[in-house]
Amino acid sequence: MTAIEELKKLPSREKNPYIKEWKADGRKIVGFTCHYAPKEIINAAGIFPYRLEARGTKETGLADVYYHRFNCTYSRCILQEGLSGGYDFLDGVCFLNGCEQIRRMYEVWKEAVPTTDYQYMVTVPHSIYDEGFEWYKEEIFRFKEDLMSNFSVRLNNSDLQSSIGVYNESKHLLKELYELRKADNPPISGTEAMKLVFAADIMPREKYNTLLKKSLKQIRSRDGIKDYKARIMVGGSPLDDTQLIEIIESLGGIVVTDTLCGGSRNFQEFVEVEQDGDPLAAIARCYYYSNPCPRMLGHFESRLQYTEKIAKEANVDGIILQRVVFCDNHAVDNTMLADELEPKGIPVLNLEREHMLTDVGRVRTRIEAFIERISRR
Amino acid sequence: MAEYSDRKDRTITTRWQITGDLAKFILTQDLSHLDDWGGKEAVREVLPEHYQKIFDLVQTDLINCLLEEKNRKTAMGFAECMGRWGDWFHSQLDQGKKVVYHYFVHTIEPMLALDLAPICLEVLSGLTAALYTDGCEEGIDAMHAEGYPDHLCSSNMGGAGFLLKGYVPKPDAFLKGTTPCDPSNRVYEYLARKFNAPLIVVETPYYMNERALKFLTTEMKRMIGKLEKIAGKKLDEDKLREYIKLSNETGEYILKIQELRKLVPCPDTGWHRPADTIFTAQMGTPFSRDYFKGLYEIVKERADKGQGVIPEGKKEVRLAWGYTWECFDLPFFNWLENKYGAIYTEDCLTLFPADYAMIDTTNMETMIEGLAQRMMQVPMARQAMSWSDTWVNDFVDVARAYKVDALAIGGHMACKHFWALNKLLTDKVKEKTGVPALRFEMDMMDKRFTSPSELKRIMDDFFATF
Amino acid sequence: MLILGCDVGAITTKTVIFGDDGIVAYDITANNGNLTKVVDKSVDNVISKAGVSLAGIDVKAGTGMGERYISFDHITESIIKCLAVAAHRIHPDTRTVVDMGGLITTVISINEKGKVLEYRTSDKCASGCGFFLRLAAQALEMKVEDFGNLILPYGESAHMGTQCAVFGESEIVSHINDGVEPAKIAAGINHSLGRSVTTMINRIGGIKDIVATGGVAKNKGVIRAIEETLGMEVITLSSIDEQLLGALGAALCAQQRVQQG
Repeated sequence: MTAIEELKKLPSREKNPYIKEWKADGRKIVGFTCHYAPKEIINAAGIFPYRLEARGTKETGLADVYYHRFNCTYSRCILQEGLSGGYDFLDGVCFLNGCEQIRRMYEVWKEAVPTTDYQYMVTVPHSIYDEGFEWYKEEIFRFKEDLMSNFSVRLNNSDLQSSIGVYNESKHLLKELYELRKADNPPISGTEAMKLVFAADIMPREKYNTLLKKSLKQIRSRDGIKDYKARIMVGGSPLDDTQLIEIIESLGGIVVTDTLCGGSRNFQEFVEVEQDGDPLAAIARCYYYSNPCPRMLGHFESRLQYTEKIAKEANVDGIILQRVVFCDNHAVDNTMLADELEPKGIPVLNLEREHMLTDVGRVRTRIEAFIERISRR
Repeated sequence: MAEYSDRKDRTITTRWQITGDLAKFILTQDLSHLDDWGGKEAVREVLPEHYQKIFDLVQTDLINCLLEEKNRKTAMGFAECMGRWGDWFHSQLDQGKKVVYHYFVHTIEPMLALDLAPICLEVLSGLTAALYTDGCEEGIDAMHAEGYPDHLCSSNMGGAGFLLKGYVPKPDAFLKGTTPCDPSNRVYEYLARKFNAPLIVVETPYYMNERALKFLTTEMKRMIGKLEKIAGKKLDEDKLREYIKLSNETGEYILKIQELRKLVPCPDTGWHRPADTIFTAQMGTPFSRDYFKGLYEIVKERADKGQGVIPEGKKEVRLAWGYTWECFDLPFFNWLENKYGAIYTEDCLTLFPADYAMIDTTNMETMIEGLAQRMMQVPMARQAMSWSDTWVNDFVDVARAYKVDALAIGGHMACKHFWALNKLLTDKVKEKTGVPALRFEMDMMDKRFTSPSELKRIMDDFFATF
Repeated sequence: MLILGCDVGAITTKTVIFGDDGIVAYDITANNGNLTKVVDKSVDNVISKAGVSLAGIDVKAGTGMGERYISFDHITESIIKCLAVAAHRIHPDTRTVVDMGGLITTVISINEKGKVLEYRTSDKCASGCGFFLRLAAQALEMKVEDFGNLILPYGESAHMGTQCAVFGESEIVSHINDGVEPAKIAAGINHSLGRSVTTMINRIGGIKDIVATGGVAKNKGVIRAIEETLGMEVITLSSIDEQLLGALGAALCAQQRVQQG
């Protein structure tokens, strides 16, 4: 199998061969629920950080006993996996108060998923400013200490530096991938690219870097895709599979970039230790200041600028801002963005969906109409 | 005849002024029910003209509820203080004071001391929902028309829509604590952008310990600095002290009333409980103090006589409202008392903890720290900002101290964090106290979601099986 | 003593006349715009079948979400209590009643005396109820009555993942356009309803004997799906039409009241 094939086909959870291999060696895996989790710290402790996802989850019967229909299907599907044993391989979970839907999962998981021995909550302030940074830095310091104590590992600055190096390398490689996608005739489809991107958080990072490097070499040698009607950027609620991207591309669009938290937000900034001299502070600084997440109050302008910048750099014809039903953050942010982008000549489709994308007909109809509107030909 | 403003941007607040005066007028008539004089139409005929239009808008059931003997005094106190609030707010506007729209978790003493005119967005939604047949649906729908979905919180959406429609004054700033939730944060962010007004954010930490208090105290100072910029002056310590003394006094009355509600029979009526939030959001003002002082005197008088508020011969059923309630049907709580003997002990939105901070007014430092402590104790915000233990423990305490028979939880449809906890919360309270819970979906402000008649049907079913 | 019990539901109105020897006559009428007229028609039908007049009925009782549309004087009974009392009367070992109606599913936990211990009703969403079955039947050009015979293992049914009746209809259309056989789609819908109902049972904790009532209880596909997901038997009552429990319960509750004075 080529490197690209391996990354594209990497299965989730219990079918993931890296998980089996890792556990067979007696090593630990700690899940995390959102982008603010300091992966470099978990990795530096010799632990495999695994982003909780619900790829392929089809129903939420167990989760619905605890959660409610007003909780989004993304959160319910993740909880469903926890309750049905899909995350039995985890040795712990780092929860965060990323959004209202997920943050309460800490307590429900503690009560109802007894296979997870270790749980921690890292709290992130809801706005971006110096005192907030100090709080978040303190939070991840405490997390580091607790992780070391619980898993009986020692973790020093040199381990952190080394881990930072690994994740910075990922960012360089992902940036390269996204640069290639900016071409007039991108050598890779959005579907393929996002499969490569999603693999990052569900396999050991060092191994991922090796495979991504090889993949990039293969991609660079390809002919570009010419046959498309419109260049599209996708933003909004977290996506953990490519079904929506596939629908867009089956209708003539090509997804050339995104503003997703599992996508381009991952590599906007590098962890620069030089600035603080302290690797932990540098990790905190990078996560805290460089994630344009709509949960942050009072920073819409910077999110708007970020969205415009990413869209223009990739020369998109239009933006699809999707959200899971009941996602409050993206419901408002997407509408505010659309209201400001359309008058600037950037067409936007606001699309609602469930996490399990089953009403495909409705979604196709809307996307098809949008692509017709923005088509280059 | 009183003079009322005809300015469009005082539509809502003028309505409240007129309603307060109208209520006082009707409560002094020889009426125990509108039917005494031949019904609403007949009463309307004898009203002065300037009251008639508002009379048509006020919910009929509410008027009849307030005319009941047990409710009259509280109603009079409410009308009196609501009218005074309206007068005061308009006088602030006439003086050209800057208008700051704030979320209800904020105590307003610093804003008062800085000569700003604070107004709580959620009270705009809640009070109009409570008083009028048209409620705040026009505001909610205005926000929907802008593309904002119905799973956002109607407590923000109603007031936000009034801003869009120009029914309330233009904002000079918005003040928002990051507790309790994303939906409220997003609406304030939208409004600040829409009206090009500064958004002052107060970060509320996730914990309820020393570290969190230290952090929040710094936040208070940051907030004050930003408010000072809006006001164009520095915060005066003496003025702040004056307003905090008032809010301390108010807090003492609230705690005393809470103690009295623990008595069997309960000496406090239920109709006014959601509406009390208009005055908890105004702590620091003399009319807020006077409202709770008056309420305390009424409740104490009943308590001293061992009087309850349910019809004679009925067995008292003691309900606690474990989360929110509907704002659009205040007579509902009166109906529960009269039909089922079900009294109202406490609820999540007005429950002050027993150690609610009486702020030390020695100096600016002690006052600011006290304000921070208060913010960690504000009802609903305190349950939402931190672990679920706070919520569970609060209602375990209420269940025990108030001898609660059942927990009724009207789950507001916009509250994702509550709904994620709904089973844990009710299971744990039942496990620790044996108290069963009734959970149902509703919307706090929008009566179209679960109508008043449906709410009654839900309670009929519950009491048939209780 | 002759007692009339009338249950005005979301989709149908059910009326029974109950005498000393049990049910004398019953009627099920589909609702349309004017509920008062529907109630009158259902009552006319049942008294005609029983060969009595309304005046000859000793006690009249009403229940259900549309009970207020009953025009004649009657005792009002809570639907929850009615279902509990009726299920216990027909099958005394009932400990969990699962009523699957047109718009609402209710799960009731009762004790050995038929007293309600706890209950949950479904959310304000039709996706787990009879209403959705009707929508689905229209989309598939089938009769709702035929859905019950479409029992296929979960893996062979079309997957219905959507949480919302409106999106659900769109999902059905997608399946049809993808060439999925209507029978598989219908079987998938049965599984989807079964899962929703099982979640509700799990919220309250289902204790056997679990008895299913309501119009959707006639759908064997849904019953089978619940049993598979829950891992417990679900009993459907053979001695009475599943839709009549509310009306029967109203009559029994009213009888109890009268006897207790």
